[in-house]
Amino acid sequence: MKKVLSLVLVALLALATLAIPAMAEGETFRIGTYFGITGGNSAYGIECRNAVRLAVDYVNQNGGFNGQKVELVEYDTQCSAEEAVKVATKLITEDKVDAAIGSMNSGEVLAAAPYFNEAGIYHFGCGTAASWMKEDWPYVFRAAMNNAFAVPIAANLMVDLGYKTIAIFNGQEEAALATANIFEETFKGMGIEVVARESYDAGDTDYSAQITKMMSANPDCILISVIGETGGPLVRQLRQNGYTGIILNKESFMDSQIEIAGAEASNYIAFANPYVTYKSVDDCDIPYMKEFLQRYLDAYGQMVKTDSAYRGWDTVMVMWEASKIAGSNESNALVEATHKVVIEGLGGTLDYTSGNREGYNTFNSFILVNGKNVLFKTWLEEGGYEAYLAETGNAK
Amino acid sequence: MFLRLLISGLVLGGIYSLIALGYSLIYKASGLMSFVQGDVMTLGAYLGLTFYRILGLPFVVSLILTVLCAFAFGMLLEKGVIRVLLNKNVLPIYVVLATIAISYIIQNGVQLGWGSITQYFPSVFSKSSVKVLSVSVQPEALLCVGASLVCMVLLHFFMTRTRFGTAMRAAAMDPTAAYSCGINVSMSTGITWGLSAGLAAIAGMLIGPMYGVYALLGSMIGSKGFSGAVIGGYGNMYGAMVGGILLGLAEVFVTGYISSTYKNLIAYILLITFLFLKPTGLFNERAIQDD
Repeated sequence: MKKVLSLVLVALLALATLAIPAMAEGETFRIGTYFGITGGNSAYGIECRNAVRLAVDYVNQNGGFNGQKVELVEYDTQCSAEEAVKVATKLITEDKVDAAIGSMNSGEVLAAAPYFNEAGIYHFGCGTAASWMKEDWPYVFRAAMNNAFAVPIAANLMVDLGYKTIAIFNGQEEAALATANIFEETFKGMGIEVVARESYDAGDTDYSAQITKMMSANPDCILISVIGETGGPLVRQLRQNGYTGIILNKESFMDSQIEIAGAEASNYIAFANPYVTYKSVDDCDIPYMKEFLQRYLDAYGQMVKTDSAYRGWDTVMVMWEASKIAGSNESNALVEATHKVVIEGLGGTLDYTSGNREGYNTFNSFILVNGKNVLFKTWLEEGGYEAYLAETGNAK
Repeated sequence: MFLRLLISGLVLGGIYSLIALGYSLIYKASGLMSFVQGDVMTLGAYLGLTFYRILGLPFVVSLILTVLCAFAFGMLLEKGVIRVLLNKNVLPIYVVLATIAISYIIQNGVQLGWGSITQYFPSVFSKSSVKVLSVSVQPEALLCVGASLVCMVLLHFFMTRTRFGTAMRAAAMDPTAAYSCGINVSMSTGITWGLSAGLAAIAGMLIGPMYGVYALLGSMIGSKGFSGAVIGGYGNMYGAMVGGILLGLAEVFVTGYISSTYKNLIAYILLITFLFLKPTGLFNERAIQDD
């Protein structure tokens, strides 16, 4: 009997010994996500989440984070900053995630990111406002554009065109308002006069009065600094109310917005951005972007319509690279390693070595003409501006 | 600028009026308050989008089908929710709360059905804008103003000059007495809710080409329409029209001559002012319980 018991104990011990490495290998690296999947700006949150899922699948197929499989713990913020805070608390205290990826709505990131930072959790936000990256949050990074970095580039387009006056139309959301403020300061510094500044509240649908006021000020150009959902209806109303001039946008005018505004109304929208959206995979001639677009199309049966998908993909890729450099999945190691990351992203080089926790630091400027995003410089050189003047009959 | 603002105000007011008409109709014909009009407008916009853009039906056919669907929805809403509550003799506040709940259900329901991205609603006319006294205006906006005027006149005559309209008003004033006179109170209230939903659907289908279609399209417009109905005299068809137009003009002129910051503020300040100083509104419409 003793022999039998001994044999059983030995067998159990052996099984336990085998089980220990098996468990270690089986442990997952849990990334909490909080995106607006329902609510006002949810189309952008859904695409961002879709891209994060794609990227995580890709990472898992290629070895995971230092051998650990990546698992997503997903929540919907309903596009609300209050909900984002609740979700952040839950991710930290109940789900005990190892890292987090935040919303494409900067207001939500601004509200939730400090909780992750305080908990020492490696965190990336996908919003584009300058505000939340001004904070001293060492655990918080971004693999999307910072609107503030794009402002001088976009504002210079006005100088290139010899424009002296501008009207600004902005929303009250974090990214829209903060970016409009930076634009206004930049314009003043460049000697461009802001002749009107108008805004709208969340839920507004009609902008005709603001458009009338801006047009009455007779600006050379109108700057729009609004969230994605508003862009399409706003441009449509601008054109329907008779504004035929160049529109300066705080970021790219995406395919989802062109669908609402209409292709004709979307003509002559200028902007500075790392990337643009494409109508089809064949329209894109950048190999890495093309590969991503095909991957997204295969997975979800539709083209990427907003650049928030690009932000999601880039974010996971930067985190993955950081894990490789760190050789560890511990939060502090990942933070330290991120400052050494230099990889090719969907919008060019993501370089974190400057220490500002931002990946994209330089952008191209484009203008949307006949449904195509043309490099602004090329458009000017090829007589695009003269063609615009002839087509619209505008003096400027 | 004045002329441009005037036209913008009339157009915006026309939209508010269509919603305000629905609120007033429900109150006039059933003595009940509803807060679902704005979201029924959203539902109408989605239905119109489905018939017109997705199924490719002609605009007029799409409009008729949309109104019929909305009418059926309004009837169902009354039979399935409002009537059930009324039969339980609940306080009117519970009916109001039920309509608020329904509005959230619609907002989430359309997201489930049509997705959360803003949908493109094609223009009804071949021209994206027309000139009115040298001001560019969307043709759909003019259609909206015209539709509001037509609906107002038709509803007024329906409520005051037809047997059924009189029966509806009687049912609202005293359901028991109306019932004893042979009026089918339940049917009358059901048709009222159906008509109101139809009105909201017309508004939704007409503004879709101007604003695009999304889940929260009607939430703000619904509140403004309510304010318009109160300003005009809650329950009065002409009041709804005038109140809506006045509100649209006030918003636009405040934006144009003062600041867009106060655009929405003015709507609710006007609402409160009228409730304090003249709760019967511009058309001196007394609340049904006061009669």
